[in-house]
Amino acid sequence: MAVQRTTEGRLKVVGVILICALLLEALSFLGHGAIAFVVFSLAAAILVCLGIPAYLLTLVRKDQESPH
Amino acid sequence: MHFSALLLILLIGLTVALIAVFVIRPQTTGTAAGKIAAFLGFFAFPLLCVGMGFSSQMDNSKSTRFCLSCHIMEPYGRSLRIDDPSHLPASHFQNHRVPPDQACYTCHTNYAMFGGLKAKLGGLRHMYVYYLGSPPKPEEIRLYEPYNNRECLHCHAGARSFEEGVVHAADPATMTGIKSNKLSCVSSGCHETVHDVAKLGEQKFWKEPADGSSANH
Repeated sequence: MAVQRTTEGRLKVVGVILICALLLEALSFLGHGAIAFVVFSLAAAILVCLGIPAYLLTLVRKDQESPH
Repeated sequence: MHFSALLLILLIGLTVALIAVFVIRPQTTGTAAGKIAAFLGFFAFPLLCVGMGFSSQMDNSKSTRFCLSCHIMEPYGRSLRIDDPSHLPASHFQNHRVPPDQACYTCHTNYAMFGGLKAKLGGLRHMYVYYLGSPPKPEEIRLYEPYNNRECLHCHAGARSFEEGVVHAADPATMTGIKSNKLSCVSSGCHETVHDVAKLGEQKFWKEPADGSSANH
């Protein structure tokens, strides 16, 4: 049960990271200048690049920690 | 807003909603359908959003509006409206020899292999200097390398106005020099007046038509 909670907790963290990334990406489309590009490339894209591997890692760890 | 941007915003909204479901109720991933939905929400859709966003931002970074969004570039934007055909960028911009909405990129990209990438990296360098470095005054800005005729010849090579131009064709050595980049198009006595931002105060400016059809930015 403790393993299950840990995995769920990780999923929550990954979810929050990805939601932040996607909201920043949407925000970057409100502007058309260099700041919008910086927000997209230095915040949104990097957070997605962190979030996706973190999700995949969560899956791998879940498999490893799963009793069956 | 373009259709593709609208589609992307919708996809972002859908993805955020999907992820929010798993953040609020992570136990949803317990079922097979939940696992598939989680895979879409946490992996496939964000990847698609970033891919589409990247493509859209790359397109946007070619626009004149993007280049002129930095305060330091404002005089260069104004120089496109100088009412004098001897000013090379102004005559290209006002006569649509370059697309007005991509005026900067069209002349300042690099028409060689990986030239677009090189231009984008140069743009990132500009942004670094602008936001984190100490940007020079507009009139002190210089190109990293001398302007290459290749960028002019990308459009002008083969054009009758260029190939049969009185000065260009007067001497075979001139044409050879231009095409081999030994004689610069913007050298003294030729098309030497480019962005003369130091003397903007002395210039008359062209007023665009009210419908803005000549410069959609």
